[in-house]
Amino acid sequence: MNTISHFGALDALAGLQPATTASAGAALGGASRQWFDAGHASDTLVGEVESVAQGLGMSQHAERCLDLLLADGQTGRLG
Amino acid sequence: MSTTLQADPNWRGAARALVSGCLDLPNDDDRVALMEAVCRGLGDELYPAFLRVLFEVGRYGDHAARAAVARALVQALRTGRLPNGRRAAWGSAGGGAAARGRPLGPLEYLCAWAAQAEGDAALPHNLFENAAQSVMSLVAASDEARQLYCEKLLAEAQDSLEGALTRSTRHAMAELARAWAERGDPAHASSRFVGALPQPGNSLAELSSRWRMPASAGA
Repeated sequence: MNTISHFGALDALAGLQPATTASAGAALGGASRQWFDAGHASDTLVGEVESVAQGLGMSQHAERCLDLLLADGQTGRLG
Repeated sequence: MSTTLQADPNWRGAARALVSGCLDLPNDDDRVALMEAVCRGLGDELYPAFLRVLFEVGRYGDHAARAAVARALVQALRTGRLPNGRRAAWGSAGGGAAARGRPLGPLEYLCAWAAQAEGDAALPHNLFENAAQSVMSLVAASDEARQLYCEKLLAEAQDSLEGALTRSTRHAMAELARAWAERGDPAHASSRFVGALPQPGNSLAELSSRWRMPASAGA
């Protein structure tokens, strides 16, 4: 029995090996998986424009979002 | 050069900023561009962080918040600009940029992460269901977005020539899409995906045990 048969006949014909799927999750050491744990207790996220965000351009909105996620000084590459 | 997350990212704040942008920007193209810019700023390696932001909106957002992002997703789906991230192509050796495959949208990415990554890198099924349900809840704030996304998932599932998804992943993703299209219930759809995956370690044993079972209780 072909050990990779469940990955498809084309894969087997091509002699492809499973499992070398370096992923973002792997790059983050698997910690990112826990981001999706439902255990967070949070209030409702209200659908309204924050006062400081009114009238901004697209790039400025993106920078606001990225500034809250990325380490310092990494959000200036939106170009 | 790769990007780095803060030690304790402000997920809620980022979700609020995304919702604010989607509500504040004057047209749909700008809203799509906003999501693209956020994904581009994060890079492929941190694409899961974008999914975490969508998770936040889908799980904790009120209808107005979810609808604001869903509206942008409708435009993204119509124009083939769904915010995406690249995983390594199936069968590729190594994980460098050259080995990275076709870009995957949020649900497709989660499916591949749950079904194709191995060991500690894999997204456990319970967390896949949490994440997928939240993303589906977000998308479903717009019926049109849900319909378009179901069509996209089914089309992706039938594409056997691209290298990002295995046959078993595509099969399970098609089950998710059909279930989501038929009943609109994210919990049902995500469990259909998990149920359709090959069950490691017990497939042969189960098959064997079924061969030995009586044909029917009344026989």
